[in-house]
Amino acid sequence: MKNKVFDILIIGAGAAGAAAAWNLSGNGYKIMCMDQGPILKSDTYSFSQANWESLKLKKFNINPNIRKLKSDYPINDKNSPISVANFNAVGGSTILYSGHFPRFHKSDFKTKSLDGVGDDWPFDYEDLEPFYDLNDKITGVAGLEGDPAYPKINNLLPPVPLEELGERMAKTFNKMGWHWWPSYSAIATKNYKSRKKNSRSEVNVTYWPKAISNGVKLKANCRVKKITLDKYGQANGVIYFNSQNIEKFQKASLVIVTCSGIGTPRLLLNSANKLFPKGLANSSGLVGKNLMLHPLGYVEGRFNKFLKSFKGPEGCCIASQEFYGTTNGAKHKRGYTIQVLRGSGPLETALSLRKFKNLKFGKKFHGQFLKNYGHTIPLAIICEDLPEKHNSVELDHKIKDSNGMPGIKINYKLSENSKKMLSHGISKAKELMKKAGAKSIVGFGPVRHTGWHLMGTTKMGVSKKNSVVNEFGQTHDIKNLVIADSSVFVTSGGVNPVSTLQAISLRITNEIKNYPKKYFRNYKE
Amino acid sequence: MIKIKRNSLKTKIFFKGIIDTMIPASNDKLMPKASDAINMNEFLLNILRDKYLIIKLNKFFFYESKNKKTNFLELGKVFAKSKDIENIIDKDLLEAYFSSNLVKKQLNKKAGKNLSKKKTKNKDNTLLLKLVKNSSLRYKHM
Repeated sequence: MKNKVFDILIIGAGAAGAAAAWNLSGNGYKIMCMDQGPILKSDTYSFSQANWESLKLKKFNINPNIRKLKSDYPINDKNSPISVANFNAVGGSTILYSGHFPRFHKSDFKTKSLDGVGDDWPFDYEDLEPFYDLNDKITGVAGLEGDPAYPKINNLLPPVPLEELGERMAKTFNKMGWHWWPSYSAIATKNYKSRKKNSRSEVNVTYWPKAISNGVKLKANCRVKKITLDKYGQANGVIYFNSQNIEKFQKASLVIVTCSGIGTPRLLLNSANKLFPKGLANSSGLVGKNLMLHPLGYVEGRFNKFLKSFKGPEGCCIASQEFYGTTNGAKHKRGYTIQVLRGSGPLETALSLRKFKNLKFGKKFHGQFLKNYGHTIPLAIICEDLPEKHNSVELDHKIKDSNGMPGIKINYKLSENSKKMLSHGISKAKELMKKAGAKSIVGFGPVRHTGWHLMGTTKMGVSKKNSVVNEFGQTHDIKNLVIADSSVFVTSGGVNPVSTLQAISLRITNEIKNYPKKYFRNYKE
Repeated sequence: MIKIKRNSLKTKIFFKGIIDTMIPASNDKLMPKASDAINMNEFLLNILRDKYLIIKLNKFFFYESKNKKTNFLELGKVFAKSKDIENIIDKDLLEAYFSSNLVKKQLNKKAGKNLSKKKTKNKDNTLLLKLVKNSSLRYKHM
């Protein structure tokens, strides 16, 4: 069969890739998207199953080193206090995520100017705002208008239910005089477009159906090995392994990489050639550097009262931005979000109690378990991570994936700023929990298995010397190679990144639509 | 010497003794004992993949079965009390127990019993708006 040339090849069918595919589709381009993982039916997701807790321990585990599916690649994270969490399939991590969907703050784009740390983005919140709005409209975001932490956000679905846990914490925040607001959540709190009430909005229901009906060709179980260049040093396609593990070549005029903050540098580094011996588009030396992870603190209060704290959408309830940005008098720069989560299900409760030696087998078993199940309120403290070059992703040739490609090694250390911030956050969260009436409180951080937010490894900027891509994701070195995921982040903010990375993907692909000559060699009107 | 065999009835009875000692029925009889809740065949298939466990069990069997009539149920209870087995099978047992439909059903009943006698109304936007009105933010303006 003759190898068809596609105008645009998108690598990675997760949150960013899906948004990119949708936005570019229906404009006359021949578009293909490849993903190393399979297409899963939504009724097979862990969330949809009665034994969801059990599935979360195994094939829907957030840790790829535990899952070890064919679509996963090994990650050496011995050199990091935080291990990577992701999911490799069409839909990416949105298949597993709880749906937290807050935006970045205005200040997140100006940390250098405001606080003397990190760097300023090459655009502002206002430049991204139309794309946040568009993404919210397509996704269906639950929330409440009027949040003083943000400029006006419209078109929100009704907020997720407080339940007793949320009501208690809301009253406590009020007693403390701290900001709180219902969580922005990608959960359809009423029937919305094709989504049933209470379903999570992941990209297999938001973006992919329309992108595919517009003609995007989606190829699952295809792992890209290298991006190749022509004799002019421009991207001309990819070498990939098809679903039968046979190596193939796919031609394309424009390549867009959306493989996440670790997958993207992995691919670029693996695509090293004579022209780019340190990795594709890596003349700056920054591909894989400045990895940011959001160190997470955890505080849990146990209450005598049975709160049915497991009730409600997992993870999403209310959140406080009281300590977001730099707090006057604090020893750290920048800040964090306190998220009120939901109590664990029965299995997670039992395993957690057992891990911390609070559950003994025998006659006391049920009493100990029932004293905790539905009686706990967990808080997550999501700390803004500052970019530091020594925090990095590199290829690890000692470990291989199912196609023989090298895995990756994470090198990550918590900065002194992060340690101070975590300590501050845990202390404040404990104070909050005490005020709420908790009878016992535990708190610690960074929690190891929380590396969901992978950012900064192909940094965006104006100068070719200290960035990999420009403000529209175009690599400085190769004009028809674009990156449109969280690896382009300049700073990490103190909130979940998916809303922002999708908005950026939409902004980048909008630029491609409007100014194709900047990207396509020999573009004809 | 009696050796542990994966598919034998004696093995099932032995493990019934172990797991029912580890997770007995609750005093109010609402929460079942482990063997009433879990699928023993599946459970044994999982845990008896562990070669270390097999070796440990065979050693135990050798010592315990020498001078006594072998009552496998009682043997299981004795073995459970030695605590050796807990750390080996605890995660599998908890997973099997709390994934079982019977336990989930009973937990839901328990949740129902613990609710106040008054019907709890759904908290709607009115309450949320009332609560959030007092929310304040220390916010830096750019």
